[in-house]
Amino acid sequence: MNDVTDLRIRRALAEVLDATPLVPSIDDVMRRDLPARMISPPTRPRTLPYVALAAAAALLLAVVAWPRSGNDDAVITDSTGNTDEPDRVTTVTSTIAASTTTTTTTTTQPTVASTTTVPEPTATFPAFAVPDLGKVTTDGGPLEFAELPEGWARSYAGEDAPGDVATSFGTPTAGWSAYLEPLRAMSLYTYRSIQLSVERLLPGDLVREDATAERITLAGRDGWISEPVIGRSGEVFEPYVFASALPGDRRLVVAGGEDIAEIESILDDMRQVDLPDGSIEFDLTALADRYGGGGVTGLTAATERLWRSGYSTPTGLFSITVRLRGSDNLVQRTEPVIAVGPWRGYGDEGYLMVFPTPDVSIEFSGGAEPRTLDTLVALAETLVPVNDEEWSRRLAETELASRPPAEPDPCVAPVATVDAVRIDGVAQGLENWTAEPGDTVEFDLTVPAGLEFGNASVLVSRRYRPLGQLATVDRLRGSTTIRFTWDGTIDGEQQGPGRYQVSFEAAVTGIARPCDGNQVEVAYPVYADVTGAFAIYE
Amino acid sequence: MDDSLTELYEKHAGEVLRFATVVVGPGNAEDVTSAVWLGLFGMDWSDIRDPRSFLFRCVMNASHDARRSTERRERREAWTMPSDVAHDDLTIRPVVREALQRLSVRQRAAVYLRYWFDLETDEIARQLRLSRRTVERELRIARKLLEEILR
Repeated sequence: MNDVTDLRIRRALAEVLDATPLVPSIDDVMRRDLPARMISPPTRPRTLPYVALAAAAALLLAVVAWPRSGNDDAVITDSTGNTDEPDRVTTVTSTIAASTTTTTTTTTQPTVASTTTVPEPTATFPAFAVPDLGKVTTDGGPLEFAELPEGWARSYAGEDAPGDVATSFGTPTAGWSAYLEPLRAMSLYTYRSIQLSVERLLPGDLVREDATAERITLAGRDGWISEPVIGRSGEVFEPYVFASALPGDRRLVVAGGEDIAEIESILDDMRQVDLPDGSIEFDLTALADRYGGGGVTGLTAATERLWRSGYSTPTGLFSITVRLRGSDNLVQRTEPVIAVGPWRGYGDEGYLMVFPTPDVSIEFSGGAEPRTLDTLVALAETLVPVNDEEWSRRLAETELASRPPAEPDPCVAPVATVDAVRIDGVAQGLENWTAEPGDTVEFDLTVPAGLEFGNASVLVSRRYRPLGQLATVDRLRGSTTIRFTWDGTIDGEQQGPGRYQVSFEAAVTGIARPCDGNQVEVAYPVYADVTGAFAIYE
Repeated sequence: MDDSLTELYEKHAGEVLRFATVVVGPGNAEDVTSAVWLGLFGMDWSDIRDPRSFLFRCVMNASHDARRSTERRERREAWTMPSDVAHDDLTIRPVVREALQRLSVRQRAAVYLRYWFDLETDEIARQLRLSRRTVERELRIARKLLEEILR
């Protein structure tokens, strides 16, 4: 089901993909001088069992029937019964390629080669660690608003200092960001979006809709509509969702909308075009007019994969980001040039980029309503330099004003987690554990407060093929230990040595604790967490 | 030049680079994919039934290697690299960077295939050679983390 989180994840991915380096020519690749250690044929990445020390590991590796050679494609493909689907892959690939050819303007320099340049290191970074930012101020501090715009609060402010974060993804950056948020949007889940999608029907979709939604006809389309799922604090976890079957194994889904009438009007404005090749296109021009601004994307590329045509009306973040202009990935547009106080910049409705110096950019974007360029320029002109002390004070205020972390609502998060797996009383890691026939195996399971699982099954599979059930549990609540002994047989048949996957599966049968009067229904099975694999010996 | 590799490169280089960008970030993507392509030079492709899946898994494995050496390398480069190289992913918002930092290589790969390609769990499992249950778990954990950070 598409929801706000899906949309945000997709937007984040789009943002990352926009920074994809240009594809080098194969000649350039072959000229690179990389160490041989980075050459990695695809083996299944598994950590060894924690307790399998040298001798045991040798024995295990000798008996475990698991292909580890580099070229294992054909073997595993056959054993799992999966077959390649070149046609489908090709389709997906072409779709994605078409959608990601927009802003790949980054030219990432080979970092390995770059280390040969060794400039004199800066003796000490200034407290704020943005060396060039000092050029725009008189006292070396960052820029900040003299006063926050009316109706806005700072929801986040942070410094990005080079060298203080070292992770695989986070190339250290220099700069700072301040995120402003409308005061009225400080509560959770106020982000409103309307999402339109054409989905391929999955097994169980219709069954689930029959169980959880009402049949309805809207704008001449027969379908199902489900009521919003409301959390304890009134937040909407799932909006109104309308689903209607389309020719073939597809369906149209409209999620969001204040009420059913709005969904019906959206459907009215979607003009369906059946294309000769069997695909379906929706002309969303009328909707663009209605929801203009605020992040309307991909309106005309609406064949089959309409989820990229989501309308978002975020009441969320308005961001002001100061960046050190360092590489080519900063946007290269320079026209039309706008005077912003003493500086130059460019922008559009809802977006403004200012360059106080050639080395620094300040970006204004986002926000609840489309902001006129004039408004943004006026906002930018209120920027004044503040010194380090003032900046520290404002950061502290931000921390005090920051929102408390959201508490997961047990009524909508029916997921159990496996805390530990023990075999004969020895705690094991979750990824890999070993057992011999007859060992006692224990799972420590944590069921979220307020939920109750029933008819739980401990299942075993090998090479992804389900083999059978090892144990059953009538009822699970809170912290539970499942204990069973496996003699290495399934349905009376002795299983050979190998790696087996054990999983826990159960349906939510009840909510033990009322959710403050809000009725939450979970009508379909959910899966609890998965344990690792283990080996048995002959 | 190996003709079959050239053909494969022309067909898959773009999507492999995008996959690597999500898994290890823009700054490391080119290194990782270059390592993969170099490693495949001279390889017999006749047994590979799904090159795309194979290449994705190559990238994942190279990413594991890259991740192990990243911390040391980045510390060094933060002091020695010119700033225009060190800040090559500034177009990504901090909140997005933080979100992806919280995910493992495997989770990033699964998230990419689910939320960008809309692949079903079984297909993700097949592409990455993971069990269905593992993919479900990784996606669930990743989604929960992303939900907390990206809100």
